[in-house]
Amino acid sequence: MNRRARFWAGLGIALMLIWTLAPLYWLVTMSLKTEAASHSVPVELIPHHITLENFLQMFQQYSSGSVSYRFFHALRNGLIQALSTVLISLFFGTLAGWVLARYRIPGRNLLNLVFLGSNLLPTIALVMPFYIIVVDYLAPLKLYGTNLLLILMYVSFTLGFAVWIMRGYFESIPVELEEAAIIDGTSKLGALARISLPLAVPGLIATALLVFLLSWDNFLLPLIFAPNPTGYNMTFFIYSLNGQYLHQDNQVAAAGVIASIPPTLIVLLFGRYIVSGLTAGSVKG
Amino acid sequence: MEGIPTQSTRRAPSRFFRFFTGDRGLALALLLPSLLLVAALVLVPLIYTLILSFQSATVNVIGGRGQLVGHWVGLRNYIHLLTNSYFLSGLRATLYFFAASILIELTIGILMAHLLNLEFRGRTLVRALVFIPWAIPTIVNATLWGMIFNGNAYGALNGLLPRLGLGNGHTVWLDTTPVWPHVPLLGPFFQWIGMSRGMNALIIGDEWKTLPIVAFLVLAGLQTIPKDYYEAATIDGATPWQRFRYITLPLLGPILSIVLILRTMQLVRAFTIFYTLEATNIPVLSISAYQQAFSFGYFGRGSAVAFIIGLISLFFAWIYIRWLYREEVA
Repeated sequence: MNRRARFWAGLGIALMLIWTLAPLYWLVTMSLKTEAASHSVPVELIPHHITLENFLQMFQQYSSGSVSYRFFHALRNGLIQALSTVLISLFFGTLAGWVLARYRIPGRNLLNLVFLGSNLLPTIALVMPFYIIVVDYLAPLKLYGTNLLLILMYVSFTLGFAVWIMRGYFESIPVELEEAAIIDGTSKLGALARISLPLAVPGLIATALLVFLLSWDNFLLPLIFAPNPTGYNMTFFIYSLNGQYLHQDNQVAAAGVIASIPPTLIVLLFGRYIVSGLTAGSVKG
Repeated sequence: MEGIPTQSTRRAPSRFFRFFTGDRGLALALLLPSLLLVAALVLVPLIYTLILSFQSATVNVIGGRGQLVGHWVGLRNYIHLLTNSYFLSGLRATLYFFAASILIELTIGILMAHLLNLEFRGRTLVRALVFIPWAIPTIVNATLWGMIFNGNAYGALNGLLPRLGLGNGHTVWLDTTPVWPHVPLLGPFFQWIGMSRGMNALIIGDEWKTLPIVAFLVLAGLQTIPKDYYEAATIDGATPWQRFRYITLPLLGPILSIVLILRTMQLVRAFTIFYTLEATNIPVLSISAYQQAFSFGYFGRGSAVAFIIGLISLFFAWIYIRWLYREEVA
């Protein structure tokens, strides 16, 4: 690269870093500010006084209705929902993805499309029928506001995604490997378990992480189906802090930092799996 | 990010995995649970949405139990929406939000991918940092940009800009009144397509979170293009633009189609950032559907809106697949 090109590249990288880091800086410093400093004028670009109070508030004074009470319920519900969704989608998605990659099933293109489409569907289109089914037809089951209901709804749009990614991964693994194992006397299921599954570990990781991120991130479904404090998950907890009369930006920012830690760790440690997972399905979607 | 399978491996059916002559029991047993789940959780509700959209349906809920009251009205929900100026302005706002966001992703996203593909010291760290915004949950992203765009003097942007000698520090960034209302032609046009300062602010906030994944998907595509292609083109005297136009862009086709399809669906159904920062001030389609059903209790009309969102997404997906795969073949 000549000097001029290097200058522009350096400028571009610097701008990209500022654009990325400035909002993150604001979120983190806001979470460390006192309430007075959070809306002081002029704005404290560098906090004069750093406090951990906003974080401690989520772990102290646990009593019904307190911030920490709602936080712990939200954390527990969020983890239960996201991890259950991962287990269900990963298990069934892997099996279905393998079948679609290996067998020449009549109408498999249509099946692929159905699975992909179930992920791409607007969530709002499923919310209304689900709501009616839950409060009217299945009212005796008392599903409204439960973790089970949210898990089922998360599965509705993550399962198809899991099938789609896993099919792409299995198609990239030569079928001859499984055939060789079958000739050596393994069953087909054994060939899947012992040959292809270990080779598809990156795909399994990618699927698990993407499904986790999708479930952890959703806002519309808890907004409609889990509006009471014991049913909150992390997204709705953060929304509830941002109330109409309370503008405690420092508290909201602290909760935001905590809710961002699991997905940020995932992305930093496994980012490459996620990217390859998303592109795996591009073998003629 | 090696080993990304982008080539389809079409081969003759393996003799062990023939469906008709082989043991179809295993295949069905493994496939059925997923099929049943998708049928129960997606197909049945979707058909129900379609049926609801032809009904005048309301739900009366008392204490967690409710009753659906509805009767058939044919296409009247759709006719009502398509002749309703509030709905149509929301439809145009959705399309503006979608078009502006996609345009940013296709230009700045691809540019970022090229920057991340350069060789420079600290590249691993820069790549890790640039990826982080995508990990921030949508609700956190929305509230964060709400703090940045806060119209009070303590908002981040209102605090920062005057120190750089820009602005008065009292800008209401999330204001939804049209931009440039007094400029002839342009002003009314911007108002018509639903462009407002608030809308543009939301686009910026949303792009902060989504640009990284676009950039990294494109980067994965760039890494599969052999360097020889560029060397050969350079020897033949191709300009950088020609190299981009005739080598990079065509070979990115499959990746771009994935990016475009995933992002279009997400943009057309965008809800969280609008609901959190603008409540119902910008009635994009998802907000409109939510409002019809859960604020007004019109589940029929809400379902019709939801179906229109689905049809729009399908239409765009169809265009991308036709356009991009043709480009690849040509």
